[in-house]
Amino acid sequence: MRLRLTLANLKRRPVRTALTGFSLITAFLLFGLLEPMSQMFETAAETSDTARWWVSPRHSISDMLPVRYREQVSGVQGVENTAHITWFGGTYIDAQRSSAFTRWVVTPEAFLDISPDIVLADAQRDAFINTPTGAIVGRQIAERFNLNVGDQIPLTADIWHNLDGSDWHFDLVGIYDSPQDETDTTRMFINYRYFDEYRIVGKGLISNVLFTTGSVNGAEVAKSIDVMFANSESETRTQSESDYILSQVGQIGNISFMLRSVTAAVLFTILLLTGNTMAQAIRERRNEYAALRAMGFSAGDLLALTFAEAVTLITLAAGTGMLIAALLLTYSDQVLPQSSGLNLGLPLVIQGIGIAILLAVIVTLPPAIRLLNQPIADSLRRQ
Amino acid sequence: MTEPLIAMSKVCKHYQLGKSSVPVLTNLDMNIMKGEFVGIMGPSGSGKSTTLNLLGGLDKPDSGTISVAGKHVNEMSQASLTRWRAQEVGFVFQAYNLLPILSARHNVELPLLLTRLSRTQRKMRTEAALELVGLGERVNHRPSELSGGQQQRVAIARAIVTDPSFLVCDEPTGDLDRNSANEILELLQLLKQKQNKTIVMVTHDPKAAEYADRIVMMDKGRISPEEVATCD
Ligand SMILES: Nc1ncnc2c1ncn2[C@@H]1O[C@H](COP(=O)(O)OP(=O)(O)O)[C@@H](O)[C@H]1O
Ligand SMILES: [Mg+2]
Repeated sequence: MRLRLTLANLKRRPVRTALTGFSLITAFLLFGLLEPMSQMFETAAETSDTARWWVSPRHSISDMLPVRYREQVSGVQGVENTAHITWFGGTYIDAQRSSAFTRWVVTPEAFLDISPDIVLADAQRDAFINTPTGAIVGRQIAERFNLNVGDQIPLTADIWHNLDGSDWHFDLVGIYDSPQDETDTTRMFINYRYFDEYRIVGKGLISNVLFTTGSVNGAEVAKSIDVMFANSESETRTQSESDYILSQVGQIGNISFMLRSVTAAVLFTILLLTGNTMAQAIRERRNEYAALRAMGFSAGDLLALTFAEAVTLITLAAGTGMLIAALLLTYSDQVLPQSSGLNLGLPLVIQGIGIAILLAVIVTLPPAIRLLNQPIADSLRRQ
Repeated sequence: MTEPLIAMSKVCKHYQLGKSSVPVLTNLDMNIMKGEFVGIMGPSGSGKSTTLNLLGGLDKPDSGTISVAGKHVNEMSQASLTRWRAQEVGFVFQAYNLLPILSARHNVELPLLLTRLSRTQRKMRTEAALELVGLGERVNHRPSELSGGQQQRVAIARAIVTDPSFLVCDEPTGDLDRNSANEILELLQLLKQKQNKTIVMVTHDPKAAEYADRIVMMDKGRISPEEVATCD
């Protein structure tokens, strides 16, 4: 019966409820889309391992570096370990999902040595090092595409075409995990040996040299590397990993802040809108509430009833909005050539529901308390 | 002589309007016996509604005592007053004050939500109350689909569904045409006769005198005629 009353109250002004519900859905849809983005930008900068340094082509990320730069970098004073990495691109050949992960070419041993964020069983590590056609993928990718060690992974090239004119086939020799829960395991790493031998063009070219410096001041080392390659055929820019990621996605701090501001503005607007609607709805019920109180309903009963109504509407709308956001994010992951890596995790959903409940409290309590503080006799008196 | 069900003694009540204090009731005494149907009449602003509100426990007097069935209503806390109203008082208002979103049946069931009755028991009580007021087939209609007289019948059913010891009715026929008003007055009289309900009704309707056992005339916060007195 109480539930009936709550639902009946919501149906009281169907147009108004629908409009409020629709605005709420839109607001939480935006929340569900923007919040994962700003979180991704933030975690990208935060979780990167600053112990690693990236040497990139100075002028454009589509330029390449000669592979011998790695040896030259390792000769620089202060450099500890080095490796190199090359963007593979391509498309994973799968019936439904074209390409939901990124692919990189590395020299396994050197790369794994400076990648504490990649956890691989010893046997698989050896297999990766010793199999020229070997590749490893992250746990999330393996689970999503149901990949097992021993599988062949076919890839269609877009930059690096294969000498024999067919698709690439790499042998899956390992599945890596991440030491932290949050770090993504959505990448694929390919052995450089077979790749370099069979690519048609660009033999001996790599995207970046990676290095660590131990306890030495990395900024000094980075500067001397860039000086060393100045005026060469491929000038370099050397950055810490976090700076490198920042420069890749633009001014992340600003983007994240901007996205957060949009979300906050949307939620604030919706707060005013819903607040106004609820205040109006409660004012309209002055006489009814007075009658209910005369009947023996306590102020607490009526407060609970009002809150139940608001919380039902707002959380339903919030849930719907976030559901649409989650579906959109999943869908975009499937149709875009490059995985966005965005998803609406449980913590965000909980946060969204929390915001919804808080919203319900803010919009119902003040007007309801104001009304219930009036003496019943006054509320009953007709104007 | 038996004890009165309702006894008001030396009741004073004033309202604060800005800085000035407006006396509404001055040393009001009134006794109502169990099973009595009392009409209160008097000019507008004479304090009739205020008196009903005090009797029904919606408001408290400045001074004086109000006892109902031996209980001192003026000394109860807000929480116990609320509980007491749910059990002992049935309200009928001029504007019916039904919930527009609920059917007649569910409006009547509302006060039973505050009891421990099971769903089936609630249903039976609701049916009985609706039967008594004679709403017929219109029990599943919303208030907006009912005439004024029918709405007031629903309100009366709602007032009696918890079987309270008395009903307070503030101008129950004020918004009704002559025929509907007569029907409502007849219904109240029936409740008194068949169910021995005690009824206190404020009214402007001269016909009401034909139905009530007794009419109390109020003027300027007093039951006239009486000597003028003041509150502290
Ligand atoms: N809450 C209030 N604040 C100020 N004055 C009030 C209030 N309630 C009633 N009054 C005044 O008290 C007087 C008596 O009111 P009321 O009991 O409603 O009279 P009646 O029902 O006989 O018309 C009126 O003058 C009215 O204006
Ligand atoms: Mg009045």
